[in-house]
Amino acid sequence: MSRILLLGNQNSGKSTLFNALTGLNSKVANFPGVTVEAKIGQITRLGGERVDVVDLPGTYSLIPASEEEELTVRAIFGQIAGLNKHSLIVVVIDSTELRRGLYLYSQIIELGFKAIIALSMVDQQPMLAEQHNISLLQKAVGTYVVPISANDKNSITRLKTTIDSILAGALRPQIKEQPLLFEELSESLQEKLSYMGSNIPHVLPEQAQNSVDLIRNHNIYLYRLVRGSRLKLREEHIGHLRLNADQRHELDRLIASTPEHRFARVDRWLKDLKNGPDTSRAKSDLVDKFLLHPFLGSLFLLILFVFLLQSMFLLAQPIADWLAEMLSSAGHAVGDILPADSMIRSLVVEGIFEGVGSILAFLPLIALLFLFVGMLEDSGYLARATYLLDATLKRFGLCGRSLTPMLSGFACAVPAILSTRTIGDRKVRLITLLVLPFLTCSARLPIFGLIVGALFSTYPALFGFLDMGALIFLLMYALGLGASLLAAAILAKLMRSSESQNLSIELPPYRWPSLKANIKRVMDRVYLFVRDVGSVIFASTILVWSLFHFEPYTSERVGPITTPAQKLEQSYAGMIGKSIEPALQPLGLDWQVGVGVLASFLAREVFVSTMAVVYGLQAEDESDPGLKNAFKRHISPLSGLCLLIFFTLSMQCVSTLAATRRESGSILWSLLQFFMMTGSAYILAISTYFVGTMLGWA
Amino acid sequence: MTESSLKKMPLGSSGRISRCLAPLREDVYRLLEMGLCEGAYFTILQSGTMFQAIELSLPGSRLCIADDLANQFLAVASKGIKG
Repeated sequence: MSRILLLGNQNSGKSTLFNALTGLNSKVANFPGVTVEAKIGQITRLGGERVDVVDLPGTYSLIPASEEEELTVRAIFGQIAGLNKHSLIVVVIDSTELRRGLYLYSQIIELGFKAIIALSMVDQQPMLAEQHNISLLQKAVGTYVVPISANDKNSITRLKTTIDSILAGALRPQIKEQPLLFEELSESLQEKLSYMGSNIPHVLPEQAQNSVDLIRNHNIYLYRLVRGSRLKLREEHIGHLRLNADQRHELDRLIASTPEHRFARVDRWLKDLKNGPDTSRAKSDLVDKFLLHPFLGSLFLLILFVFLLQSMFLLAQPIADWLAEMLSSAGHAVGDILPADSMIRSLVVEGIFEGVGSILAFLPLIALLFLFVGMLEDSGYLARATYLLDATLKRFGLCGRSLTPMLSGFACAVPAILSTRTIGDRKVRLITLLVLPFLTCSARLPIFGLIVGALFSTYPALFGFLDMGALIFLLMYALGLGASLLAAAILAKLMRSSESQNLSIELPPYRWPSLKANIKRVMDRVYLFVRDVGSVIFASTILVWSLFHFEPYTSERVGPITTPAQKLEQSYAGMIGKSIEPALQPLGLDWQVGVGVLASFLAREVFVSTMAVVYGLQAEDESDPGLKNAFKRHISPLSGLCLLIFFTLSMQCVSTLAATRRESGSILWSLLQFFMMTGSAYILAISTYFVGTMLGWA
Repeated sequence: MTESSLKKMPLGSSGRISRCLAPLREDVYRLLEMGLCEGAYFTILQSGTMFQAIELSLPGSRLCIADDLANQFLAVASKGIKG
């Protein structure tokens, strides 16, 4: 089957074109060795043959600067299993960023790849799309240029027809200007560059195999990649060149001047085109005077993100509640068919349906988060927000792009971790995703509500006006934020990441985001979440259910088990709770809280309903007065404060650990995250108890 | 005309890039590939200590770059040229 790759700069309209070409006939694909995804869809040729279309992450250059760009480069060079051959590259170029897009096209043809150009967003540059200009451009670049607009179906059909004709061999791009890189080099070096060794880490395109010029360009490109660190190519990959120090120096000088020469060539291509003024840029500059203003811009950013977070909670909660109710009804309906009080009924209703419910509980929040982030990104504002906050976050080893994940972290750490993919620097991305779960997510709020409501609501207001409960809530938020920034700063020191995170970001012109394209993207993300993280959550739910419903065999039991509390005490969960009791006693807590802590590992909010069962109550809500009274009888205010600190900082969420493992590519990072968070939570809680006891608060 | 660091160019000034000090540094090379190479015309749109970065206009695009990166580029100021 033939395969075509869609390549382009960020925000070039590539994904919109992909959706227009493939419709709903697409899926997100993972590839071995990379954590980012590409989308694969299909189109049908005139003869009925199916052709794979791959939507690669956007890039400015074939020298990758982020994990997403790395995937793109590796796909082009046939280094990814499942994507190792392609018949054509469609370079998507935003007509308002023609010069930049042609730079990327220039790199493609220098290496001998067969390519055509899809000129997007021509409605913003109508003069450019005129036949006279298109003919001039085609002649200059030596390939077919098809102006496209997502709203114009005819333009998409024209592009499909052009692709079909090229694949059939009826049309042939006449690319003339490939050689560029080696022209200024000495003859002796050119001689050495003419040989392509057998240990090259990439696949040579067909044209390059018979062209000395293209082989030279490939060798220079390979030399450049070995000099860089991202693809981790080794010296042996250019060993066949046998370069001496002078020749290396000569190549370095050439590589340093190549972008300038490439842009000079692009300018030659563009010199005869007649183009109108770019009005979108002028409008954007005007808006930026306000949105990038040091004070007004920062204020707008704060208001916007508070508004978005608030909207997310308001919109997502009713949907999550509705889904939970639907699932609960379905669970009970299925349960009614099964034998009453049987183990299988309990497994299905409390295990499987609860497990699915805990996955569904995240979905509305995740979907809305990705929708908002996608809209902000497509509008061009996210790049501005990155610029505004980069310097502040950099002080803590983070960067401007850490902002979106951090704000999302106040809602839920799982989508926040998934959204760290936009961070180019590997170390900064890793630090960001490791510290995100310190931020106070929505699942902690029921626990705070129970502890504060039961133990601190009767305290008098501080200074006569500061409500103690509200103050403790605020302190816990501040503690989570402070801990995440402190942990980030420490990790940055340990990883020595401070040298590699200088801001360089392009500000695209403001545009209205496409709701349709964003909804499609959200659906892809939700699918990935359910597939990768959901499966772990589901399995963990069944495991925790087993711990709570099975008990170790013993012949020493006296009398029957009659209450849920007794049953719980006898279960594996009760046994584990008792076994961790020695660790909880220094905090003034007993095994019953241990059971709650164990259950909350599945999802923090489960702590409340578990404590109700432990205390032999029917309550499942943190506002239940019976539960609050029981809590008050069993736990002192100082122990309650320690428990609050523990839950603020500890890693009590298996979904987050699963997301970290997926995004970091190793379970070791999940373990580090777990021990870093739970360890610091325990140490701070125990220190608080010690100081509190010394001060006579116990 | 004297060369000065891009970072030291005053707000609103225009000029052209005359030299890059560390072109093979990965983050600097990416800027070369984004159009900030020798001979490129620019205008400084935002500059200040608060963001530790500058915003500049290049033909057809706008870039924000950290001060450290801006220090890697030397520029010559010119009158009447807008990016």
